[in-house]
Amino acid sequence: MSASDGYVVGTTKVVDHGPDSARWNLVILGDGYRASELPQYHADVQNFLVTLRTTPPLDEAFCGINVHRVDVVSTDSGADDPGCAGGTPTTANTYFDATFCTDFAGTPLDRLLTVNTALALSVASAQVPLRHQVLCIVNSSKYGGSGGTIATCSTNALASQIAIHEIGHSAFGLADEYGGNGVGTPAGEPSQPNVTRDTNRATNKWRTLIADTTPMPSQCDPGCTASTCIPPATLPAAGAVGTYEGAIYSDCNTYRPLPSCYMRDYAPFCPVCAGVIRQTLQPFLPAESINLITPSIDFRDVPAGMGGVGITTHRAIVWEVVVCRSLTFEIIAGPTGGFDTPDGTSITVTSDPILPVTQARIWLAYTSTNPGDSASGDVTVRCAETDQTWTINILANTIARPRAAVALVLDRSGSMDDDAGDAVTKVQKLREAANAFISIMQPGDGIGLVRFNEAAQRLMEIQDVGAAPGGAGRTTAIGHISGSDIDPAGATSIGDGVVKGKQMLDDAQAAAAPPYDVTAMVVLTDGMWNRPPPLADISGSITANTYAVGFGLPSNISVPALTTLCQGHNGYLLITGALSTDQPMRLGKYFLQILAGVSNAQIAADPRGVLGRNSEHRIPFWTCEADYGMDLIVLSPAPQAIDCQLEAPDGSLITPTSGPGGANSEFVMSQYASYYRCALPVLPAQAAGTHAGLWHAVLKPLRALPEGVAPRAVLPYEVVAHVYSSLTFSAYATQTSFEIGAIIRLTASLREYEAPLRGHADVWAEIMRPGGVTDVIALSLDSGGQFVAAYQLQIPGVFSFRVRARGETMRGLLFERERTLTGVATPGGDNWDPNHPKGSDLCDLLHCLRERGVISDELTQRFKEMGVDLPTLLKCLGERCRSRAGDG
Amino acid sequence: MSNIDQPDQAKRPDVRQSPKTLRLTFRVADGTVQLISHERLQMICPPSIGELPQARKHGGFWMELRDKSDHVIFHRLIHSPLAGSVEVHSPDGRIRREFGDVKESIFEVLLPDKPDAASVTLMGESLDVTKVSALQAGSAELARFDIPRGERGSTQ
Repeated sequence: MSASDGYVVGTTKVVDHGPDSARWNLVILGDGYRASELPQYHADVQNFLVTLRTTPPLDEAFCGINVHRVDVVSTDSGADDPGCAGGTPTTANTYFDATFCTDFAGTPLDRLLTVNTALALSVASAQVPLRHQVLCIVNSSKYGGSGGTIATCSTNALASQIAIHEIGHSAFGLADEYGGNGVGTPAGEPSQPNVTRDTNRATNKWRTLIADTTPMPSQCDPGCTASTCIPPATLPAAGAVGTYEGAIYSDCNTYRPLPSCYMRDYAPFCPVCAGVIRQTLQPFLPAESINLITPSIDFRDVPAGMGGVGITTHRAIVWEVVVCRSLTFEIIAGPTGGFDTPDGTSITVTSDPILPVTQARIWLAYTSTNPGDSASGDVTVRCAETDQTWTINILANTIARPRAAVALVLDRSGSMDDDAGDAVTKVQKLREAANAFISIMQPGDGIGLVRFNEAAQRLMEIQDVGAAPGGAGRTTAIGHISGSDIDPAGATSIGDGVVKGKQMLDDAQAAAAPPYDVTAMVVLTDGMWNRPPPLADISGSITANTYAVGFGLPSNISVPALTTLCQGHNGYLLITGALSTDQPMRLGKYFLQILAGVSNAQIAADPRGVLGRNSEHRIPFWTCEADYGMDLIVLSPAPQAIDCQLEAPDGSLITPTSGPGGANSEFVMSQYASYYRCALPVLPAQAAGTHAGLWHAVLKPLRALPEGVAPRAVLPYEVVAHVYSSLTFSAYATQTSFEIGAIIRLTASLREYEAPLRGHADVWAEIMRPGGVTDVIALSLDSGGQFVAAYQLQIPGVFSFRVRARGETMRGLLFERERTLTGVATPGGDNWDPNHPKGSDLCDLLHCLRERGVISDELTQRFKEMGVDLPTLLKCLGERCRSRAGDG
Repeated sequence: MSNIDQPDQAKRPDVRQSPKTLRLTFRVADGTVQLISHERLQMICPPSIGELPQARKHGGFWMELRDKSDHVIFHRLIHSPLAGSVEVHSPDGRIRREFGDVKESIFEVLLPDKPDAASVTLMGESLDVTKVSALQAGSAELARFDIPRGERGSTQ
């Protein structure tokens, strides 16, 4: 047994309060954990640390402590248990040879859990030379532990108390405060600081903690007949430090400071022991420092809100603090200038549980007004404990809503005339999706169009979309999309399309006054680029945010090149796969998601459904206090046939006729989408009930259809809730291989008022595999504050990842966010060469037969005798193969 | 004044007092104690707690660091260098100590690595646990060792 029964994996500094040379270093070893159980060991260590850092006075000295977790793998799980108190004997081959029922002086003691001390000390020294204390956690739920040079405890919920009691001995020199028959009790005055024979208040070693009113001795042990203790006339006050008989293994004539203490019965450390612990750890405490890292607060360029409703933005005054005690920062003057304090006027901080530095934040808020407005003020803050004060300047200004210019770069190669998968041509799907995209763009944004097949043309220069509906830019763009300008024909030069899109955006920026705040290019293609220039050659010159939609099967699309193009330009690639009849509007939803990215909107919900003739669908979605606007969008082949109303959290109904005027809402109907565009709160007179909370979109088929709208038995729809918010969610996928078995890494982050989310959140991905099988994986929070997960693409095809976040804001209000991402795996996916497109097996075979001279005159004659005209057959096949190679 | 001072949390620790630490490892066997290894470490040494115990007056165990003039320049309380007792914890919250005749144990002591230190002395009542009781005589010097030289070393 022992070291041959496992191996040392390594050490992690799980609490890092500074250099080991300046802190008190606790080393934690694990025993009886197999490799697969190391995550449990890590959790057990965390559980112990929670107990340690919440045990006074260790809590206030925790900033002076480093904790090093040594991962050790054992052959077997658990510990030896010879069953000395009954039960079945068990044996476990573990690295440190942990065992219950340790034999002591010939007697096995059931709860006495020990390890190989020499080996444990050796490993601890090798891993953490500057160690002060070693603890071994043994993977057994049975209650047990031991002390000595190494403290030992099991994973039993109460066993951590054993460890802390034993550390009281070995690290702080404290004596046991329980009594006994006197065996082991020293003859003279005990040298330990927490036990005594001296009941004289003038000479007692903890005399400064004893009140004049406390009798001495304070309590005698009534069971001790041989004691010289004289019972006091009056009992001491509860909690009064004095001399209570019974300590250090004797019930008689030895005294402890309080009736209870960790060193007697796991009660909180008595004041005497607590003082010893503080005194011992005091040299290890870091020097206190407070640094203001935001000498001024700048609410720079906060956009004006929607419909005249201002956007409230938060910024924090931040101090970087190294501290062990609690410090309170409080505003003593201001803020002047109309700024608010949304989270109160004071904050109290203590040391970070695992890091040497913590931050104190007091939040300020500014609500935007009209473009061009500015504000200034200041606020004075004082630290109550140190009496330091800081005056912080505050500046703010309001600008017009950021405008975006978007170039739609659209594939019109011949294959766009193919079926998208649901008996509708791809080009028709594109017309519907682009129409909705353009219809929903915000007034002031610009739209331009580029089309490409074997070459690209600038179909429409960037132009303000104008009002919704009916703005000149929208009308022109939709006219191009709906007409013959994108009728399919020819091959595929994505590169030329991207070049033209870039040039169009560059020209628009040069001409715009003021320039657009955001430029974006959205590339849609269903093919492999097969005409120059290569995407790799032009990618470096692009400055716009770039998104791409691969329309169709990944094997036909330049996935690696488009991925590289997008990932390098703040965008992403989405692959639709073949559209199915149950998701006919997937392309439209992808376009809306991209529109959200372009306009800095967040997606709060995007369910779909089918309305029956008499049905009513209530679709819930949440808004929170950080949201200041929303678009509730309904995609449908016939949005004119759907009655859509909004029900606010307080039950108020927002209808197409509600605003503007009475409400901060506007309802817009277009050919393939209808939507509400709202500022929050929607009803200013009912601000509380029409801002944050649970909303419902209420959908019903219209009974009286507008003229020209044909009745339908069923109405498929997609609802998308976009919110404009200071609580932002981003998610992206990183894929470096496209072969089957490739790993895709999902990364998501949540920010609240431009700082990490202060509330709680769960993030997960709902995965739709090729073929329709679903998976769900959780994204875990990493040390950098991002949510991450990895997933293996085990079969060929398109994987859809609906990455969702659900949590609570700093005010405790619920929020939801989501984003759809796609991943692709295909055989040969890492050898995608657009200049040598993958031919079919039949074409490859034909090529080989011709190259190798397999088709002889004799073979031709034999086929002829069977009635097969082989030369004509080969000619037809050859023409087909050439066609595939050159087709878009 | 009490020897239990409440530390000033804002006070910077005076690491100059003990920037280096000497870790000594002892073996107790058959009533005798041996220094079996030492290490000099670039880390803060925990301070002494309480007043210096005095031989014959105080019970328990402690280690004294002495200079060439045999003056005590530091002391460290030691909980129990003896292998002759173990603490038994019960899930019902009771703690008791079992005593018995066990021959061998290992214990470590952290002391400041002071240039003027010449020897280290183990003080206590007896290395035979059966003789430690309220009825026995007080403490005395049990063993003395010269401060070892070199960064680390072992006698094993």
